Amino acid sequence: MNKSGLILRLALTIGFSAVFIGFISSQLFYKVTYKNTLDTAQADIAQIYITVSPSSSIAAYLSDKELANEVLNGLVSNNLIMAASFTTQDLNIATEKFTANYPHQSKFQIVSPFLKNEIIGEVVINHDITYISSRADTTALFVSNALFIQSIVVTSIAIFIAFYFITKPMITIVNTLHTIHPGTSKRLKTPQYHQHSELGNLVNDINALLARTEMQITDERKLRAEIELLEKRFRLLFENSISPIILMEPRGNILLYNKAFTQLLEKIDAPFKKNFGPMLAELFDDTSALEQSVKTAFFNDEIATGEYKLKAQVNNHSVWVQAVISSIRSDDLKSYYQVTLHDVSKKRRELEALSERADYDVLTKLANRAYTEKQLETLINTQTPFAFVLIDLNGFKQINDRYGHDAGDEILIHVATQMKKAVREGEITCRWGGDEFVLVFPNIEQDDITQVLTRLNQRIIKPYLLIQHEVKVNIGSSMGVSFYPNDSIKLQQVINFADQAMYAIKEESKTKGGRFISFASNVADDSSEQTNG
Amino acid sequence: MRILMVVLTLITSTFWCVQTRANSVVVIVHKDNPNNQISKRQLIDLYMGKYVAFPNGEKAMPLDVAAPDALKRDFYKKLVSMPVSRVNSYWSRISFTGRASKPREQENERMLVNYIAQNPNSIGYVSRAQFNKMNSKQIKIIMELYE
Repeated sequence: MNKSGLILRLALTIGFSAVFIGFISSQLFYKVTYKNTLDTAQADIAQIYITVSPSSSIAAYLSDKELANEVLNGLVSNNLIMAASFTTQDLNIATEKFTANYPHQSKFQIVSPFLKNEIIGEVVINHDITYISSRADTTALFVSNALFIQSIVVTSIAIFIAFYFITKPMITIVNTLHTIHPGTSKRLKTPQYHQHSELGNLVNDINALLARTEMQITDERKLRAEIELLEKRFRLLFENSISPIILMEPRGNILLYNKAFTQLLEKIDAPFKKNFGPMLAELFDDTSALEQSVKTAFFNDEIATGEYKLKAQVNNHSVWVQAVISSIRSDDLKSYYQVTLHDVSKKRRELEALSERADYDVLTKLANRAYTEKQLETLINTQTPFAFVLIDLNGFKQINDRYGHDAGDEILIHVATQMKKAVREGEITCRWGGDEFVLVFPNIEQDDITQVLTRLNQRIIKPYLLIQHEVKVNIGSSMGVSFYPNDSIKLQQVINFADQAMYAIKEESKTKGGRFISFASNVADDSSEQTNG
Repeated sequence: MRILMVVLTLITSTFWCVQTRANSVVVIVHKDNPNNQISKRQLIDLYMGKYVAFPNGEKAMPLDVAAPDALKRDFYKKLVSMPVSRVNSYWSRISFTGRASKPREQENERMLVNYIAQNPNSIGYVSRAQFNKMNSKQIKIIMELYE
C-alpha cells in the first residue's frame, strides 16, 4: 500500500483525531459523571433523612434513646450511609463505625415536632464514600465507554463514507489519468453520483484539457509532416544538383555536401576527408590566389567568385572550376561558408586555345587591341552602327609606382572584371594598351551608353582594398565616346575623335564631381582646331 | 358607601372576637392545686409525655375528653397545631417504649370535672361555655387557650 496514499492518510488522520477526541471527551465525561453521581448521592441522603425526620423529631423531643436508635439503624441500613450519630441536649448516641470528623458528612438539624422553630438536636450522617464512589465510578465508566465506542463507530462510518464517496472515485480518476497518453482519444469517466459535484467538474475540465491537447498534437503532427515533405524536396534539390555544394565552417570542417561533390572527388581520385583546409584549399593548385580573392571579396561584402585550377589532373588535362563562395551568418551568429563549384574545364580549354591565337590579353582576359581592330573592321564592312569608348584610368600610374607592378596588375584585373560585368553579349571589352581600355557597343543610343558608362564609373571609383598592403586606393576614369557612322565613317577617325574627346576632359575628370564622359560631337570644334594645329 | 363598609367590617370583627372568646378552651385543675398558672410549653410537655409533672415538681395526671369530638380536636389544634389523628399516631409510635403514656380519657366534660374534683394532681380541659355553665367550686382555670 502506498505510504503517502490518500486512503491511508485519511484513515490515519481521522482515526487518530477520533481516538484523541474520544479519549479526551470520555475522560471529561467520566469526571463530570463521577461528580454528578456524588452530588446525587448527597441529595439522595438528604431525601432519606426527610423520611426519618418525624421519628427523629419525636426521639429528640422525648430524648428517647430507643426511638433514636431505631432512626439511626434505619439510616445505616441504606447502602449510601456508612454511619450516623444522634445528638440532643440529653442524648448522644452513634452507630458503631461513626467518627466525628469525617470528610464526607451531611448534618441535619432536628426540629421540635410541636414547636416548628425550635431546634432540639442534630443528626450527622457519614456517607459510605467507598460505595458511592464505586457506584459513581461504574456509572461514569459506562458513560465514557459508551462515548468512546460511539466515537469509534462514527469514525468508522466517516472513514467508510470518505473512502467510498471521495477517495475511491479520486483514486480511480488518478489511476485512469495515469494511463492516458496525451493526444489519444481516451477520456476519463465521471464517477457514479458525482455528475454535479466538484469531482465531476474536475473530470469534465480534465477531459476538456485532453481534447484540446489532442487537437493541438494532431495539428502539430500535420505541420511536422508538411515540414518533412518540404525538407525532403530540398534534400532532393540539393542531392541532385549537378554542381558540388559544400557547407563548411570557416576553419574548413565540412558540415554538408552533396553527391556531386563526392563524384568530383572520385573523378580527381581524391579520398574523402572531413576537412580539406579552409575553402577546400588542399584541392586547389594555387591556394594563395583563391585565399586572396575570397579575402578581398568578403572584405568588400561581396560574393567571392573566381576560376581556379585543381591540383589533380584527369586524363592529362587540368581541371578548372568556378568557385562561388559566400559567407552565411546563421541566426545564432555562427558563420558558415557555402561553396559551390562549377566545372569550367571545357570553357577554360577554349579560352586557352583563344589565348594561343593571341586574340586575348593574358592578364585581364579581355580582347587585345589587334583582335578588337579586326572586329571593328568587320562592323564597318557590314555597316553596323556602333559606339566606340576609350577609357583611361586616373591614378593608375601612381599606384604602380608606389605599390609595384603586382598591385598595378591587380587593379587592371579588377577594372577588367567590372567591365565584363557591365557589358552584354556581342559587346566588346578590350585592353587597348597600358591602362587604356576600349568598349564597343553595336547599335546603341547615346542615352543608353551614358547610363552604362555611369554605372561602370561608379564601380571603378569605389575605393579598392589592396590586401597585401592593407590600404584602400582610389582610381578614376575618363571616357571619350565617338559614334560610327555619325562622327565619321573611317575607323581611324572614329578612334581619333574618341581619343580627343577623352583628353578634352582628362583634367576635369580628376577633380571630384567633374565630368568623366565626353562625346566627340561636343568637342568637334576644338578637336578640329587641334588637329589642324 | 365606603363608611358603611368600614362600619360593617368593624361590627363583623367584633362579633368574631366575641365568638372566639366563647370558643376558647380552658385548662382546669383541682382548686387546691398549688399551681395557679402554666405556660403553653409546660402544657405541651405534660400532654405529649415529656415531663408528667407540674411546674412545682408535683406529679401530674393529664386527662383527655372523649366527647364531644370537637372539644378534643379544638384543644390539640390550639395546643400543637395537629389533628387528633396525628396525635394518636404520635402516641402509637412511642407507646411501645413504655417511657410515656397517653392521657387518660374521660367520657365527657362532666365526668372530667368530677374526676378532677376528686384528684388534686390531675389536669384537664373543657370548653369555656361548659365551664361557665357548670360553675363548679372544686376546679380552677390555670390557662385559657385561644385560637
